[in-house]
Amino acid sequence: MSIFKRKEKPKKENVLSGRRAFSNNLYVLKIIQKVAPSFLPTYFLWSVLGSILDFFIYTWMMRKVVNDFQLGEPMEKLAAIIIALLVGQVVFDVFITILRKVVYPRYQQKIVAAIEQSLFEKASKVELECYENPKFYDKYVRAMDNSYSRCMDVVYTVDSLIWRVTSISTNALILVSIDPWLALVALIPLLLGFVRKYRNRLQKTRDDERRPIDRRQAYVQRSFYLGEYAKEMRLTAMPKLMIGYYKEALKDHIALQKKYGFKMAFLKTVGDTGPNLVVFLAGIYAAYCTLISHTMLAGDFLVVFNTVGQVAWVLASLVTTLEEFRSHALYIEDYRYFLDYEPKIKKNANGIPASAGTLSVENVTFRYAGADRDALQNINMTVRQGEKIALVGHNGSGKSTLVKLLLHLYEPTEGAVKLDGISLADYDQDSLKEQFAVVFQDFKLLSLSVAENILLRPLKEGDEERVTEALQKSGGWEKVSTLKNGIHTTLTREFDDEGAVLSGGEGQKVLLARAFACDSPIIILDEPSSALDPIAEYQMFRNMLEACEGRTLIFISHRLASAVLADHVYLLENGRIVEDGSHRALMEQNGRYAELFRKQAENYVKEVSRDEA
Amino acid sequence: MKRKPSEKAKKKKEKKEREKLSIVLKHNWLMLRKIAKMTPEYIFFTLLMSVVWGLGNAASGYFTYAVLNEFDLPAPSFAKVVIYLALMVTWLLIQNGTSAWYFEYYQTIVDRKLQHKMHSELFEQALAMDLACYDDPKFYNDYVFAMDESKNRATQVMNDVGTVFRQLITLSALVALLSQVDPFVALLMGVSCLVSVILSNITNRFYFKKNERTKPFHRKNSYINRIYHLADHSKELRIGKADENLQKIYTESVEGIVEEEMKVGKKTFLLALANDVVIYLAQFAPALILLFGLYDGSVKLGGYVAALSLMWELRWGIYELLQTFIRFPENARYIGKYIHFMDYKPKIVGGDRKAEPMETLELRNLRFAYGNSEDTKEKYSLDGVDLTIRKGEKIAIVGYNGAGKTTLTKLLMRLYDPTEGEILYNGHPLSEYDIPSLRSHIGAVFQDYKIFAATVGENVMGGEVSPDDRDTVFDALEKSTFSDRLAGMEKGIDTALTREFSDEGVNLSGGEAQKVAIARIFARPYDLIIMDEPSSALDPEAEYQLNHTLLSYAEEKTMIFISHRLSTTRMADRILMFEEGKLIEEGSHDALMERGGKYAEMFRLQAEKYRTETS
Repeated sequence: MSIFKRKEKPKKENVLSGRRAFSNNLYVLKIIQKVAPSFLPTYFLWSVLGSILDFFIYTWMMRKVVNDFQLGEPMEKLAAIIIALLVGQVVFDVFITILRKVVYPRYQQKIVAAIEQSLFEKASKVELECYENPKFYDKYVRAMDNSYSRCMDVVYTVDSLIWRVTSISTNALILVSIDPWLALVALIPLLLGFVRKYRNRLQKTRDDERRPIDRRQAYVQRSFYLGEYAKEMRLTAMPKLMIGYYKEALKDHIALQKKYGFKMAFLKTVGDTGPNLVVFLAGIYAAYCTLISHTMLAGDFLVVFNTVGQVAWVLASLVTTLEEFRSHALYIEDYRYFLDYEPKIKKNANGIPASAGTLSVENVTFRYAGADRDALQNINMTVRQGEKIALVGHNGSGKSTLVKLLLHLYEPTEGAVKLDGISLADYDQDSLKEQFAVVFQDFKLLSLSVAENILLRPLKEGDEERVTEALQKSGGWEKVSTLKNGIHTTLTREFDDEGAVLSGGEGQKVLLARAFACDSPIIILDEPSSALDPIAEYQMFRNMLEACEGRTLIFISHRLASAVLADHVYLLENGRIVEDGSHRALMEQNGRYAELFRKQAENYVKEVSRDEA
Repeated sequence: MKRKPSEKAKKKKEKKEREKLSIVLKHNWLMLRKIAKMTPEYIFFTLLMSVVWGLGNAASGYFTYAVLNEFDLPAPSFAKVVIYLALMVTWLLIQNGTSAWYFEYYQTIVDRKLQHKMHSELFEQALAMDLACYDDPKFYNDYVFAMDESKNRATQVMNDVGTVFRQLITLSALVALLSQVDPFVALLMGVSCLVSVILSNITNRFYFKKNERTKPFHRKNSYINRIYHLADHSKELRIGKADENLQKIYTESVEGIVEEEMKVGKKTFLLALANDVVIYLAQFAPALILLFGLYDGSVKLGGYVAALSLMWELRWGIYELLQTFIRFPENARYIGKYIHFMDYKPKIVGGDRKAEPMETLELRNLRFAYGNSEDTKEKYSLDGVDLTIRKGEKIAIVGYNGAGKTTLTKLLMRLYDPTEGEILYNGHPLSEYDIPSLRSHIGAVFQDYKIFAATVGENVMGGEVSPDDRDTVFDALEKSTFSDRLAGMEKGIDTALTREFSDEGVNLSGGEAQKVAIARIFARPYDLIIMDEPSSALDPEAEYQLNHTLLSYAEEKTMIFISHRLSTTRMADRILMFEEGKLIEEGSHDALMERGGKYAEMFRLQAEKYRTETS
């Protein structure tokens, strides 16, 4: 009765047309060519030279020595050839070592940076919605993941193709010069390439089927060793269940191996022995020519014996190389898709410069991509400059979504969000950003200095006093003043082992300084106080109100006590505004808000009033 | 700043210890013995494959040697050559066939079997481990490591032993062949191979150091990469220009990497060149020396060709052997952590006493501090608590964060043992009881409860769901007010939770998950129920409803709940107010309000804002 018995549907593999696969590989090569113009020609040229030199040393020289020895040529001539090749090899080596040690690494770093930065730039431009669209996000993560090494793999595969082609042509040339029929023999293994291809496909299917099984085992492992599971694992019978899952996975593994393993082993044996057989046949033929018909010399036999196998092997693996290009192409497809994606929210650098004003939400409906119902429905609200607004409601009522629309992180599905009557999209987005100071509920600290985290931009002159003052107001100074480098201390230990690690509450207090430090006319606080207790929250809001005279303040809270302080309260339920007005008006109206407020207050009030009676 | 030199010294000492040969041998040997015990067939087949491959690597040289020598005879026999070639192809077929069977089919199975046996042992040990171990980061890291790596290391040790065995066979076969051709050339080739391997190791060391130096840069870059691609930071990136700060860090570290690459490139340039020249000499010098031999008749054609073509096999053999030797100390270090973990003796061990349903629970002068070291002990999370809880009591524990509330509940479940003082369950110390039997009486919902990647039913039962359990599960979910959500699930209590395994799994919201967690306490007949902020993710209405169900259900049972929300605490028979690990006030809500102490103050402050507005 396991939940895993349900058969996992095999994922339909993305298949690209040959043309697209080719174009994707070319796309990456073009990028590299643009970033580091002389890298590819140098790299490929030296690789061709190297394989030609190899041919002379390993194949040609051996043949020459053995043949000439049999023919009774003078030894001095052969010694001279050997020495000449040695000199050639050493000269070549000096150049290739220089390239490898000091030229290629520089190019490689340049290419890494260019590829990663192209992704970063795009990532900061695409709208937030992309992160919530699993399909897009998957592609995106895949594109980001090892983007550099995947791009370089294209270069390496091209290089190995060049090596193979050079090696086949030089070796085939010498074989044909010995006996044209031999070239035909060497062609047989081309068929073996398909055996390999079939085996690789089997392996891929097996690996795909194995992945969910591995995932199960890995999860069971985690459930045993992660601290977060430790208590439950000790107090319940879960371990037994988990071990059961693990055993089941082992059975599945063995079954999978039985299903594919033998077939793969057979194909591998055929694929590997094929070239050996060709060598065997060609060897007998060459031995016949040498010993009986005397049309070949011992050196020729040697070349046939050594080279046929090599040509056969290279030909058989050629198919694999082509497969490699296909697999690169699949990955590059994601990369290209991402880079070519046109963000819906454009930077609009030539747009209208934004300035303080009335923020209005007109008939806005919003649905997350892929969701089956609207997150917000027909929202209307007007926030005049300087007003203090509270958005209240249960979790999932749409408060945070509304805030994100106000910040133009999303484009509404219907309706419009306007600043001073002009739709947000028409503004220069950089200047629009400057109108808002925001602290999110699920804020994240970046591994930058305290001051940079607050300002979210590079520091300028005069910022120090500004940040210090803001921290004093937000209550964050108490903590920051104890840090070794004050407001220049790096936060988190991501890459600075002396970085400061703040608790949730401390982090919130530090980030709240954002509201004081930025002159932005509109401040948005999305449950910035969840880590504070109710009293501290109330206090915090009161300070904020005092400090924000003349500036617009929009805050979200599920503690209704804080809503009392707002000029205007909006109560959201299931994506709609169900009530709005001042606290007093809403209480008098005696509707949903009043009911909720009383429920939260009930216990306290009853008690306290009885106490006082 | 003071710490740095001592840390360095420590590191050095560690390094010395880890490289001690006896330990290296001991640890690797221990792992081998473990494998031999768990899956003896693994050892047998690894060694068998080593013999097949070891001989195979040398075989082509022998065949070339034999065939060409035949050519060199005054009257060469075609039939003999055909036989040699036929022998060769048969040998290759056998070699290819056995290795395909082993690597494509069998090894995976035996590997998984070994993995299963090792993990079973590890899991058992993990469960026996004290919860306190999770608080010790060093131990915890080693432990995660032992878990993660043990199986790979076992395979690694197996492979390494196989490689050594295989290369020894290959090398002896090659040396035998070469010395037959020309002992001096064999020596020359052997020595130059060795020199080249040593030179490349020196070069590698430089690169290793470079990698150490570039690590911080790579760490920065991968962090920035993460920032951009994880949804976590997506909003922060969009509301400001932190982008520019990050880009600057990125560019700087790329420059740093390039600089280090150039430095090491220049440093190792000559070394690399020297290494290559040695290799070329080892290749060309025999070609010349043997050429003389060929012309003066002391060397046969077969010997000449074989010697030259075996050069690469020889070099590769020595190189791989040395690389493998380097890995043994590394294996030993990992295995050391594994042994350390497996040898750990849990401090919390049960006694023989079977636990009866709870009557009384007494805490006597209870003190507790996290961690073992003396300096952390100054901070007691619980500091001298005396308390008696009787059957059927409803106790609320209140206090600010860090007052020791959660710690107290962990001690009651014997997840930790007290530092001083004791806890008596029905008059006997907790340590006398059999742990599973004791815990079978205690049901708990933690603040940081965890939903498992299992079905709803399994999550509620905390284990397998037998057919008889199904009604219990429905009933428990009804009581925890999860029924409405359950009705929306197609597969009911067989619905898989979380998306760990399947995209069809259901991810519950915080409030829903909490309800499932709470249902756990209804599913089993516990006498003592501990709720640590059970309703923090619920909205006030849902919380109110839940509290009522809880109370009506818990009539006979003892209940201890921790809550931030003072409104909840009013339902309790007795309220315990904690501050800095001490029990500072105790009594009913009314009594405490009358007393006008800390509790009353806390309660008034919370109530104030509401009071002024509603009245």
